[in-house]
Amino acid sequence: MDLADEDFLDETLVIGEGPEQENTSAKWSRAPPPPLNPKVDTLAFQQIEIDHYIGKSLPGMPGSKVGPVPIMRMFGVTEQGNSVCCYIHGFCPYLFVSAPSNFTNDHCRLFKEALNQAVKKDMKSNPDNIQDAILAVELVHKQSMYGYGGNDKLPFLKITVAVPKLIAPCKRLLEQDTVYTAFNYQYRAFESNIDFDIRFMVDTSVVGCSWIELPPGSWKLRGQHGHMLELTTRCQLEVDVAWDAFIAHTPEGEWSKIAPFRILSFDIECAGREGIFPEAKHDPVIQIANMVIRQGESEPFLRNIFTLDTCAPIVGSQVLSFEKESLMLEKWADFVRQLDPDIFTGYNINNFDFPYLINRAQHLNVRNFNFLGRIKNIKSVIKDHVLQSKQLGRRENKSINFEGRVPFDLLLVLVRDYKLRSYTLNAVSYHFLQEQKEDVQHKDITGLQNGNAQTRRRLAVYCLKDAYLPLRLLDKLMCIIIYMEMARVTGVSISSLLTRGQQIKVVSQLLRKTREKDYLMPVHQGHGTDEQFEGATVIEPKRGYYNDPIATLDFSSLYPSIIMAHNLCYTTLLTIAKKKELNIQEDQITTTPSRSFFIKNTIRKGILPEILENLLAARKKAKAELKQETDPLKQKVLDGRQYALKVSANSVYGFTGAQMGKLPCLEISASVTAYGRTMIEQTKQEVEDHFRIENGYKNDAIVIYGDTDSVMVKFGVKDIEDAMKLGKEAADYVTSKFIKPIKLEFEKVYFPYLLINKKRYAGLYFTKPDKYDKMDCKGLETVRRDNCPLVANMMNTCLQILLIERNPHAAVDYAKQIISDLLCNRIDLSQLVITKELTKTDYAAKQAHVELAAKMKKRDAGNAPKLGDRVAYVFTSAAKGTPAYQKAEDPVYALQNSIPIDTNYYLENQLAKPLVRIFEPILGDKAESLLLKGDHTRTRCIATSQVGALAAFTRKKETCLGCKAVLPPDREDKAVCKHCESQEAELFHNELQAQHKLEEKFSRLWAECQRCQGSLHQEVICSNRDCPIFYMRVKSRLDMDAKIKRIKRFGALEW
Amino acid sequence: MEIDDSSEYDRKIVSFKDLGRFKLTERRYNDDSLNIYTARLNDLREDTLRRAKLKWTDYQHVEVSRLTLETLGKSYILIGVLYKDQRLKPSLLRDLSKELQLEAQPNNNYASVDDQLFLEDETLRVKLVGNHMDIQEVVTGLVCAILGHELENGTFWVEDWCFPGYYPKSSSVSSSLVEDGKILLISGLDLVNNTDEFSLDLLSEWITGMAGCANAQKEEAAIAKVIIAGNSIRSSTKIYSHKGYHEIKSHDQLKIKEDVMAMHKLDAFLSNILNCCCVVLMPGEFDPTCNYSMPQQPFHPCTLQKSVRFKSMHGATNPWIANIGGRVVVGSCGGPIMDIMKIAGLSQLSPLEWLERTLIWRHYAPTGPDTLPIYPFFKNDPFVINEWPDIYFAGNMDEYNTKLVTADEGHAVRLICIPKFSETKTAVLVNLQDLTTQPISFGDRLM
Repeated sequence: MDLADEDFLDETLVIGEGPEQENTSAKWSRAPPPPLNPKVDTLAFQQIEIDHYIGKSLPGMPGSKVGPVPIMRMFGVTEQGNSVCCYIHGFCPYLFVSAPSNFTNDHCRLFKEALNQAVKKDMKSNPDNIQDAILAVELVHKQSMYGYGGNDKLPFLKITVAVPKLIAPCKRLLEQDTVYTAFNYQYRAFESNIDFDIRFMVDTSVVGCSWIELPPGSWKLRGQHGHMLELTTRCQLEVDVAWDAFIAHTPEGEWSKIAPFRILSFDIECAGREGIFPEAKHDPVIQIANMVIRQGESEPFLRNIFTLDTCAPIVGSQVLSFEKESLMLEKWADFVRQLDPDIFTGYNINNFDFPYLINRAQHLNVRNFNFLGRIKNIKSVIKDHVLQSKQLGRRENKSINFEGRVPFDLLLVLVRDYKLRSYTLNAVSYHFLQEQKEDVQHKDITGLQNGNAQTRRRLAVYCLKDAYLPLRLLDKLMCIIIYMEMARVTGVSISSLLTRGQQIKVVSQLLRKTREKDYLMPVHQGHGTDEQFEGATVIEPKRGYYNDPIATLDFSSLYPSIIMAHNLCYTTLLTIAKKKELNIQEDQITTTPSRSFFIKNTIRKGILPEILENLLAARKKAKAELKQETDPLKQKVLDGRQYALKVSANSVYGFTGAQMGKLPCLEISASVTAYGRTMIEQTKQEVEDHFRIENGYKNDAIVIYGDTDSVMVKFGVKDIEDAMKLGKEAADYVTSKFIKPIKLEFEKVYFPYLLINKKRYAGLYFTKPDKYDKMDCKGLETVRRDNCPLVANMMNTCLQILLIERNPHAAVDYAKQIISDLLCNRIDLSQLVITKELTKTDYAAKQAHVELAAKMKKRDAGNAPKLGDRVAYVFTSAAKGTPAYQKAEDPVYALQNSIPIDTNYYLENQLAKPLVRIFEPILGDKAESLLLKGDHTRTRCIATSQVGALAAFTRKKETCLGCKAVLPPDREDKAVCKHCESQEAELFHNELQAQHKLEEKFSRLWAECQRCQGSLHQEVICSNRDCPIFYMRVKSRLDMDAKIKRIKRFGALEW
Repeated sequence: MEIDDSSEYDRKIVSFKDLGRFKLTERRYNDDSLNIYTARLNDLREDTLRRAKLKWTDYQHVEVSRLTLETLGKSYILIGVLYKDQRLKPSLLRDLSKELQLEAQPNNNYASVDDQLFLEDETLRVKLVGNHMDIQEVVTGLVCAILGHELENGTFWVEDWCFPGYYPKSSSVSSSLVEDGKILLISGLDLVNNTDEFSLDLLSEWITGMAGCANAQKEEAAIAKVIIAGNSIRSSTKIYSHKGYHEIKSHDQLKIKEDVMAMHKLDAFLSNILNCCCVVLMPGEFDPTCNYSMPQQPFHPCTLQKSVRFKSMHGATNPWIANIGGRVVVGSCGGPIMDIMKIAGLSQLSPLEWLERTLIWRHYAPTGPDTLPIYPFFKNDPFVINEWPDIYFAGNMDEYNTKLVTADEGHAVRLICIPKFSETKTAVLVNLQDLTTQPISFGDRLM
């Protein structure tokens, strides 16, 4: 569910005088456009961004001729890759208000004049010199979309105003004051809260990222053919057109193609001071790496890097070195302007790279840096932007205006669309590409910068990689395509998808439908209520380990199909009063399980069901086309589309439940969930009643669990194929009991199936009888963020043994071994590391990672984690009663000083619960004592710390390598004590064996890091604490040294 | 058996000097700069460039990083280390992430058609493209000169290439000093798994002169050195999966017991031979020695308590270089060749051909440390070929194979693949004087 966002961006613009566009490098700038004659040529382009400004009206165009008028601006790219800015004239903002029933056309003129007076009086100043605030008042007959009120249309006034910002005062004056005295009437505003850009797109049937065609004769090209209007943008083509003269193509068939947008990915490096996160006021930007790719191509066509101070050349990339930082920044801004990218991307560019560059440039007084957008004279300015959404929580972001270009920050996209353990670029790269990323510490960056041209090149190569990685991720995750398709499906621009919540998507779709059907959308006064409605239901799970095939029946698109089946909509909602008034028969009404009334679709079909039908039909079509398509690029687009359609269909339900939203309707959302609940119950009933021995089936079926939109059925058969057959039969049987288009589908069989609790289960997932598709785990600790990797790995392996090998005993044994390994210190440290981001230093409750950061700062300020860094820590043992937060220690420090790990903490606080949870269904109540208290927990090894209060008083004595007895002084240089001498050979081989393993590991670790850093010759400087290899490297080196010393005790190697 | 009492043969004695190049005096693991590649490149750059300039006269040599400053499309000579990017190469990271995979498959081929080739010098790496170079016949870690030109997308189009070539012959070495005598090469005794005592006894009797007729004894007496080239204890290890610590542990314990037993067996076998003949014992990849990574250090004396008392016993490194009777003998227990064959898994070349190539590549173990474990050398690369071997062998091969290679200056080198004794019951006899070889089998069947 989602949201309640809405925020109106501060629309003040900072105007300056931007530099003229000059193109110094043919490699950077776009190829010149072909000669065009508006009289005979057609111009088609894919728009990516739509905005408007207030300007002067253009002669020959529709709309107001006097005073300031709003002019729409579309930015886009032609199929040849030329950038276009299209000015669209004559579209005016408007709102509706309800009108008294005896209002006639004759009243319109007087009403208009009165309102005009009132609005002008209301304006404190009139900087734009608006002469006519109200352009027109028109009497129309429409219906409110909220609630069924018969088929009679009611009078409304459509009030057209000069500029968008006059809509709000109009509404206020009409609703609160008496403007027009002829009627004593309480006016109610409709559709006054619609963004002007959305309004425009709805009225002209333009959807996001669609193709726009300007037919010959309808448009004018600026700067040519006598049309000498000023060029105000950095686009190659600037054209003017009337709002009703262009063709907006629906993105289908040929027009679903995607133009070769230029995507610039960049990354900056700053030279921070020791121990302080870089600040724009003090720390210079030292490198900016840029990668530019055309949408649809697989390799960047331009790679370059701007460096402060000299930098040795790099094959395949242009190196631009500057002596002065301010010149570098100036030239970079110049590069961006010449490149004219459509999309900016990178990792965390919105909240770090861009603000840092802009602030730094301001601090250094760099000339013309801020002009990064497409409008020549508008500066890019940082604004704080708070997005409040139920889905994402409160997020403070920075927003920066780049008129005509879309900032597409990969980090924000990932945070929005994916649930991950960690969002560092390292973690993300490992998660999606299975590659670790070299990570260089701030301290080392400064060191490399202060070296020579070679070390700076080392840094540059690293920086270039960081600029390239977002492009690879964008490609792999199809982000751009999915967002474009989402924009097309929902009809909003791509940037509003990124900066706004879910609401706007549904509003845009609703408006398109209401316009068609003469409905008006009321203005909802957002106020939160505490009214809660019951959520989805779960059938109490019959917990256990099922060594039988369990068929899973799913309702496909449950909530959308409920809305469609029962015709739930704003327009069909019926109040009891209206029901009486209109004298509607019972058989024309659906009464929902939550006691709301809706008109049946025989009387009136709702618009929500219609929207959903269109979305689902479109999805079906996209999926069918996807199967046919052979071109991989078009396949991607179609796949992106079907995904966007699915998400959009599901967001409709959320929209009706969002109480702070534009138009919540609890009757709808409560009915939907109520239906969902009863349907799950009913399915259980139907299945258990029908599939019985009496009805000729081999066994009685039992529903063992049911959740939101699925039920798990045990048919009692032992064969997967039989279970699948029965599953299909059951799905069809139950589907026939429900109203169309509700459909129960048989999707998969779990065999075996481990049902742990509500929303927690695991099973082998079969869609065809011969081979399983995957192991499916829901709600288990395999993905939780605040666990150490050991937990996830152990759980995974246990489940594998349980489910794939079907050997519960082996799984228990394995778990015991891991516990024993843990207690005997045989677990690799990287498996025990927990990482957390240091977001602020003063938490109310003491937190382990915060305490540790403070401790590390005392030790070595240069290496201590800073705000925004991720702190990695392990729990080390301490005196009894020490609170957990004081036990956190830097893993590297713990390794180097052999500080013992608090294995008990890991056992009790990390491993115990998840383990008991998965084994309880198998072992019953004994699980806990069997796993956590058995024989295997009796042997423990505790390392002795080399630091700490007592360490100073201890003297290390050599012990026998065989029996660990302390060696007497005369044997201290020997390996074993007298009693163990007979076994010396064996003990020696034991050591050799261990050493072989260590050595192999050591060399593999280094080889791995060399491969990862992409260089054999350069030393490994990576300190990526998200990477297990980093700790292994530190440990392996210590282990090697220790092992060699032990082996030396067996005597010198001399022949 | 007929024994002619009257004839008596003296055991040949030849001069012997272990050149000790691969001996590690001190082992340290705490240096960050693992820079064996830089050392390798520095050692071989000059010679490679000299040969390259002879091959392509009119081209200029540039550093990889200077390439972008030069004219695009013009051909230049680059010198660097080759790096082969292979998806199938074992990766620790990948192993970690799929810990779940319950069984680890031993992988004998790292090559696939998707492999990419790079050239790298101290400064930078560039991707090599073009079909001129057969990517399947080169491996990671080779020093190489490439003639070609940069393409617009930053890759380098290969027109021709050139390796360092044979070690230039120095005039001071003359063959007149070569002594008369033979050496016997054995490898892969595999005492843990080899239950066939008979052939081993036969071997020992033959060496010591207890078997064969007078002629045979005469031949036997000419054996001045027995070189045991690795894997005397075992010649393979089973790969165990991650699952079950106790299983691995008990397996380890068993392995150690076996090792200790086999060491005793080896000790007995050696001390028997040592009575009358000199033995050089090299450790192998799977032998329990003081280290696993190349160069492997000799067996620890304390593990061979009987043999260690003989002066005729010599513990050697793997690989190993010595001067025996005026001949430079170099060899390894076969690990580097096996690793090369994994990297070039799609190539059809025989081990002997790879052995020959290492001479041209001028490196005994080029794939280390990338896929072949190598001790972290910081300042030098001891595996660079700095001499002209007369006898160059690789142990533990599947079959016996040999070839006499004659280099540009007329200098000859005898290449030998020593077969695994445990499987072929075959040893190889080499005549120091004329470099002829002869396989000798000790099977219980007539072959």
